[in-house]
Amino acid sequence: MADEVILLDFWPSPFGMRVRIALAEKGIKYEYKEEDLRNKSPMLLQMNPVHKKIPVLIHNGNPICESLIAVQYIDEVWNDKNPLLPSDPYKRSQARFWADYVDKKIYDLGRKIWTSKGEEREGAKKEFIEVLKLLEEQLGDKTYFGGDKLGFVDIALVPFYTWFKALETFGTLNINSECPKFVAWANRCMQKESVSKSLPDQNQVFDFIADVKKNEGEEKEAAKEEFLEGVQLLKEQLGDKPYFGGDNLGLVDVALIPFICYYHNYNICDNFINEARCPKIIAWSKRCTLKQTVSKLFPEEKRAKEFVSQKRKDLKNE
Amino acid sequence: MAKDYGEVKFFGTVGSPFAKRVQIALDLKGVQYTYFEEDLRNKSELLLKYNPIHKKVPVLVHKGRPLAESLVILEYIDEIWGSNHPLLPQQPYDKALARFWSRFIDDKCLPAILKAAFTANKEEREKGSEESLEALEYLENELKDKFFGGESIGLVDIAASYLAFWLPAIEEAVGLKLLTSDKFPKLHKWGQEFTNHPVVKKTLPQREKVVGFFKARYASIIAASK
Repeated sequence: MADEVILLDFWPSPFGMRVRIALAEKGIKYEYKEEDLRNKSPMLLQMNPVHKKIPVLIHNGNPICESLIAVQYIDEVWNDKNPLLPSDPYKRSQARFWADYVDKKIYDLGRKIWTSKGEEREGAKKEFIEVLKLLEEQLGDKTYFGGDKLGFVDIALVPFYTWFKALETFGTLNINSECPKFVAWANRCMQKESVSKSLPDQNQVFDFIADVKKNEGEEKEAAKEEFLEGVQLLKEQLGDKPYFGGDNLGLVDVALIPFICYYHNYNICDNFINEARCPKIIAWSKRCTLKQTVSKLFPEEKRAKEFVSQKRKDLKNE
Repeated sequence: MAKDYGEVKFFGTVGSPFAKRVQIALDLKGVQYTYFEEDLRNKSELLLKYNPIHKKVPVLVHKGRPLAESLVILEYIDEIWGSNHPLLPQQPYDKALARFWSRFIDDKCLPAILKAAFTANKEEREKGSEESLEALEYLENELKDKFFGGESIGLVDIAASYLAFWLPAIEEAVGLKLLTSDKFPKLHKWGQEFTNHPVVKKTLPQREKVVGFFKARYASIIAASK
């Protein structure tokens, strides 16, 4: 009976690429199904109800989730050729350790490089290069991390090579000059058909990441505009009164103060609510802050900023 | 004739749940080892030599070769001391599932529990509780036998030891109610079976000490937020 193998994937995903490489190394015929991550298929939601993520390998109707788990599964089931993990238990444990290290470091640092700014970005860049150098040390004089043949760590790591153009452009990095050994290793991997056929072109991935950044940026700008429109409407409501409630703070003042404060007083979001754009509202907000009932309730600026920073991180991880 | 497996050294701390995972596995398999208790505020040269990347416990050193990361170590132990109390199933698909749930515990359960207990911000804590309950629900549905490993303790049970022992201690220390018997009857019962297993019971640390540690941790988080 023939095996039925399906891969639910998303073309720019480095995690999906890992499974593609493993399947190609073993010469396994499979059906590739491209997922639209903004509109996940019923099959994906059924096969990976816990994480709802790709890649999902489906073998004879049985789903295997998590890329490194799927690669190990492939190695164990199709064990007749091209072993992906070493046969020696200690070497196997080292391969698992370094694949886990790649998982812990590369993705998050890479993302930080093209999503963050300023000091945070510089920190991420520095750490990223350090990680690559450590991996270079691990590679040593070997052709691949797996020795003479492509192995588990190679498969775990090489997909991130497709990010390099984006990282170098958005991060102003020169990976080739900082880590030439790493790039040489990646190019060696690309010489293998199982890798070159499984990985998209760096330019394609660059365009994809540029689009994501643009959309995130555009969405942000659109949201800011809408917020400001709302503020203008409220300004008309305020009229010439000192407060929305008239001579004293009223319900609307109390409802609105916290939001204006976050953006104006704490300068979260590049001070887009400023005197130039909405002078009347800023004047109102200053009047409110003069009232002790209001000013003593504001959390300390540092804490507020930490809170926002954590929220941003959480939202990115969802 | 008893097989000579070679010298085994194990670096851990009494308080580390990850170190205890490895210790439980070693003890279940009857492995002879030399234990080194680390002081994490003053890490030994040996620890830094054997785990220069993460500088953490647990570290296992077998025949002079070091291993780090608890789940990696557990699989290695199961491969070397395979015939004594096997931890992983034989079939590749069952193995994949065991690995999936072990990772789920580390990647989803534990961070949610820590968020639910040890965050100053009330909204964050509530979110953490929600996430914890969701994660526990998945495990409740996954549990089909006495243990995740079937009739005997397996990899997932050992990974989930945090839920059996440390979570109840956190709940007591912080005043949280997550793994209750009415919401999670199977998981709750599993927790008791697990902690009462003779080998596990001997290996686990003293409960009062762990509760005390968590109480102190909670107090310092609250104090720092004022």
